[in-house]
Amino acid sequence: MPASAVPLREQTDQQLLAGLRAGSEPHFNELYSRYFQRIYSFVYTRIRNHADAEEVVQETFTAVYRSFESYRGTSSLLSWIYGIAKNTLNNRLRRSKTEGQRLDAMRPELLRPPSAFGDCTPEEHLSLRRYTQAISERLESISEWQCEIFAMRHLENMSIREISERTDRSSDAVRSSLYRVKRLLFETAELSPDDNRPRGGDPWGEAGSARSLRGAQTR
Amino acid sequence: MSASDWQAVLDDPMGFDPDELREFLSADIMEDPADPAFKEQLRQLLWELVRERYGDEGGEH
Repeated sequence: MPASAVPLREQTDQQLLAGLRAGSEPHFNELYSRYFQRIYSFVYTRIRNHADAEEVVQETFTAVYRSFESYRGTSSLLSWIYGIAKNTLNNRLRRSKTEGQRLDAMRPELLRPPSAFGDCTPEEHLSLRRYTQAISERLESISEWQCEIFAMRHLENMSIREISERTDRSSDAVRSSLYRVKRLLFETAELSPDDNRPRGGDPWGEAGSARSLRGAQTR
Repeated sequence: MSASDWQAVLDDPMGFDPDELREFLSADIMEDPADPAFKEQLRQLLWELVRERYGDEGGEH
């Protein structure tokens, strides 16, 4: 039976790859669906942090898709993709260890933020404390390196390429990180200092969808 | 995946840990822990890569 007559879900990886190389989006979608959860779960089980897992998964998939031309079929596609995922994950874990050692060497007083509460009434002070706590809870999932990347982009106005070179991360990884931090900040910005309910406004001047945030960071 | 396919993977010259590879293979039947927005964002990014490299046949499959 020709490959085109076989339902996509029943096609082999090689058949899907052939369809993908012919520019077929359905074949691409099936191959992506077949491997996304495998890679994500594999990585997340070992990292236990969604932000870092997303970065590793994105690096893995971009490496896979950029290397399809060099894939000769001498190994199964499954083990080839698994190998790339494993290498990317190991690189990430090595890099985390180095960054952890660098942060440990920093002077603690440099990591302490200045006081956020100036001349406030007791009610405002209490409200701000609650608001700060809510923000802290939201931002706990952002790792140190993602904060650094966000600061480089939005405080130091560095380009994606410059950040990529300085942090030794791929441009895709930098973009993915910026997207995640922006999304979290946007969600946090929707909290009201008064009652922690969504305000409904758009303090960033951007629509709140993931797509618009992603578009905003590439401008 | 059939038994013969699985054997082909295990016989792979790349020589991976079979238990770890089996875990990788079976992850798609577990609960998906990923953010759907991230999954879709990455799908769009990769599809752009594919279109740049291989062209777009217009979804006629």
